[in-house]
Amino acid sequence: MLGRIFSTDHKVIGKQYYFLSLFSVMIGLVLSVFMRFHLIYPDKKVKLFELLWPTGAAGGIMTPELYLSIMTMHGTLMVFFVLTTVPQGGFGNFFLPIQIGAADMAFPRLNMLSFWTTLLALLVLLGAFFVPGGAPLGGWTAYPPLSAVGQIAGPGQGDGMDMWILSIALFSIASLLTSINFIATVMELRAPGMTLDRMPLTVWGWFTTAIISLLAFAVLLAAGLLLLFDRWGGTSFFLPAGLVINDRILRNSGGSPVLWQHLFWFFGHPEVYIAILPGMGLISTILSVNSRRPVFGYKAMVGAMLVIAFLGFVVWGHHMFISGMSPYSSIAFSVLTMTVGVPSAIKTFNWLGTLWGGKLRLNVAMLFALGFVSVFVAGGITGIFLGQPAMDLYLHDTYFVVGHFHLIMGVAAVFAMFAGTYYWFPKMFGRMLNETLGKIHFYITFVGVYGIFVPMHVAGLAGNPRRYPDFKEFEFLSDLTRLHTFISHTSFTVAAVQLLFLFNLLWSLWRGARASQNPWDSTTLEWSVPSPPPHDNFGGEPVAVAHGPYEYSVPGSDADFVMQAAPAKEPSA
Amino acid sequence: MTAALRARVAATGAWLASGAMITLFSALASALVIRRGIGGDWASLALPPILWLNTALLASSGAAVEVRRWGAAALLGAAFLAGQAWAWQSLGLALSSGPAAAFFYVLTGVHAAHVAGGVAALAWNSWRATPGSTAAARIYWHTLGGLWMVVLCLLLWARS
Amino acid sequence: MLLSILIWVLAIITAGVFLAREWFPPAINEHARAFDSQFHLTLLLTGGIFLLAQAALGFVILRARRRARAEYSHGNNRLEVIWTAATAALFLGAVFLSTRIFTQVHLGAAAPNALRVECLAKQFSWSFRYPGPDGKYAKLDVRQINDATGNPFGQDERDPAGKDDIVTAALRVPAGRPVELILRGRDVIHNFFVRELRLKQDVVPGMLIPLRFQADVPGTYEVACSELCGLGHHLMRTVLIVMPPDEFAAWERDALAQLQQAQGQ
Repeated sequence: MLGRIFSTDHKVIGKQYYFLSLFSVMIGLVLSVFMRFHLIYPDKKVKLFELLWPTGAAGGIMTPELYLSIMTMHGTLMVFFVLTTVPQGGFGNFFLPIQIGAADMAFPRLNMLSFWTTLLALLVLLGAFFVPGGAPLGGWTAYPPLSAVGQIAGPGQGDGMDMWILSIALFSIASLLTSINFIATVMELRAPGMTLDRMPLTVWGWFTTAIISLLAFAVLLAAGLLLLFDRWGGTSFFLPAGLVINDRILRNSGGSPVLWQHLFWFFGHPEVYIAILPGMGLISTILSVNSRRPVFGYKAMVGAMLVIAFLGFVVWGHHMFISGMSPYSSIAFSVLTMTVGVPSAIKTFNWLGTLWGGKLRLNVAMLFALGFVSVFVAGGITGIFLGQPAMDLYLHDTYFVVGHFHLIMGVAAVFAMFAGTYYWFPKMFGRMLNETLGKIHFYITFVGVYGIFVPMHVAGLAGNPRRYPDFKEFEFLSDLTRLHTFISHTSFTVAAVQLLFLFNLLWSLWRGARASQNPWDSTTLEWSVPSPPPHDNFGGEPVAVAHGPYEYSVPGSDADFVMQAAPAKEPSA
Repeated sequence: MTAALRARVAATGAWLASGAMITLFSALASALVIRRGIGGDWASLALPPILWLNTALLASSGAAVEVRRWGAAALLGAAFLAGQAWAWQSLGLALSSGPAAAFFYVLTGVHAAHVAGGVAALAWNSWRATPGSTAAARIYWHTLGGLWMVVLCLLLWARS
Repeated sequence: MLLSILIWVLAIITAGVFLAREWFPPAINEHARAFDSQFHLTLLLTGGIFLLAQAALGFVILRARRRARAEYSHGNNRLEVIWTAATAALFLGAVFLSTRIFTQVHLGAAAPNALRVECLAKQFSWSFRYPGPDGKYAKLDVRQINDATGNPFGQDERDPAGKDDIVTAALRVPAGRPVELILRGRDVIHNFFVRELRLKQDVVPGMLIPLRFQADVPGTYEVACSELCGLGHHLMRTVLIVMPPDEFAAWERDALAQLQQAQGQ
């Protein structure tokens, strides 16, 4: 039994990551519902708030500091334990070895260590809710001095902030170990015939993401270390002279708050590509499978991923246009930011190109993949506003930004996770998810997310600042009450419909229809083994790959697809 | 997996880990360069002379690894750590004694933490070396040796 | 079929929401008008791309319904080159157009007749100080900070240059005159934001950051902190009061007179 829990089997570890994320996303979602409720009913007494937070919500009314700490935890949970975990640690762990014809990851025990370290990181983070002062309130971005001066800056900035830093440090180490595993596996353990240009785009996505992670999380670790020393070691990396907080004159001097921003965003921007690249690879695959066509422009897709990965490291300053950074830097970052938008646009064209001549199968995975393209365009296109420093002079730190990153990360990346779930559930668990429930889940969610996040953009145009616990103080915000009410009510609906997904997932684990080996008629290697696969993936059979990953509707072939593992004499281009 | 493949995979993993370590130190180094330029409060540190002895110890340890004398390498590595502790003591400052001291402790401290892990790996190899653990330990240890040279040069440069 | 229509409807509604009303407050100066122009240009560009892309998506879904067998193709290199070049040109074009607006704010020198004011941002309120007729500010001493007695800056009481320094809670400026606002912070990062000016700037402790602007339309405009600064972040409000020049001069005279009275006592 213990062996099953402390398993080094990448498939078990992948499922463990998936359920860790599922747990995290439920908490994160509930926190966001609480936030949206408070924003439109700031003075309503809610017994549940008082029950959960006797100090922060005494009398059932959420204090501003509680709102901000909920917001901080929401962001942290979602970015790290959901967006950075499911695509890589969850699906990547389960499917990467199989898709390249390997029996397991390069370092199975390291893989297990990564998972348990991630779990520890999650428990430490959640522990922040329970320490004196509660969870930190400085946002997931934790800018000093607010994050560096400790308890005097506000509740949660004492022990809670330390827990946060510790959690992120643990998470970073786990991510680094995972990255090493993924890269080594792709480099060294591909089966004969699995050349780089026959790797599915999912594998390219995991591979590129692992490279980004390796570099980015190392920098986050460094930043977190320095922050910890500013808090406990009396150093002044980020703290300048002359600080007076809560009537206390601090002894620090010489440090720069902007230095933190540079270090953090040097990690933070590549992080968003970590969150989206595996999803992009998956969407390419699902669109191809369900259009019965090869991915349009496979080489361009790979190239685009690599360019995104590289350029993603040189655009971090677009989070800092109005930080006090040199205007010349801003201009340089702006040009680079526009440049990194180009490969993303290319991918969108290629997705459309894949669909163009296709014979579509609109199963739920495909619905989410199509929805992904729609919201990815919606979310990505507003980047053209934000990438201009001149526009940022107004739009920075408004709900325009909140709408933008939620559409891209909170919706598109999540749609990719949903698509992956509906697509891979049969392979992972040997059962099918219910398609009808899935369709209801999709349609309500798809309409709902537009309803939540598009209005946020125009709230931003009206100047609505972000990270405000309520909007009562400003006259110009009273104009936006109806908008926010609409957003909140839509969010309650969308949150509720996720319960349907959860029910579908849990029900189907035990009662779903048994899945065949290849229910989607897909070509990649995981579909040439049983559902679920045996412990060593290929049952001891040697794997040889003779075909590309997307050979659908090949002229001259009987079936409308040629599996990668099929013998060489099958026709493929 | 064949022994040869095991060794290759381990080596690849160790190179990747080295990449992460180099990135970590690069981040700290860039923070040093920036902080030194902005605060106006950078004191000139007298680097404890034992650092040179420690460097020799670490270099010898690297040489020992090359001739597969794992026990000797581990001992020399441990001696390096002891020497670093001595250096900390003899510097007589604290993290809070200004940015120059702070970076001295942070850089040497983070390096020492990695060395400690390395010493454990070397000790393991003296007990039970495999082609994989040999390849990995070698790469990891030499990376730490190289990083030490860079850190030392950085600290020397930063004094002026 | 349903999906295509849904995508089109959502796209049109999205466009409609953006165009439903003028979401920006009225522009009160040249910079704001330039900003609005560039914004509308960008909106046209991005809106066009957005609608085209969603239309294409809906269309390919629809088109695929009547298909017997999918077309086998690995792509089209010429097409890749064309749409890559077009995208690059559009994106980079947008940023080059807007660069001037940004550099005018941040790289221009202060006008010689600019009104000099300093802003102090602290948890959780704003203060401003004017140098007065002698054109000099009092030196600052962090130990003399006293919010209760109206010395948030920590003006050195012994410094004679401070005798005519006017400290206020609201920012008053004369219409039509350039202003150089120096932003100071004394605890955490804040951000000075006025919608009608189309400007915001982080206030960073340890840095003195100039914000140069000119307001042409008299009125009272809200100032909203726009960088998370703690539990009072949403309460950090003040106003920018743009006054006709003669009214501003009158206010300044009154303020100085009150100062002298207070010092005489």
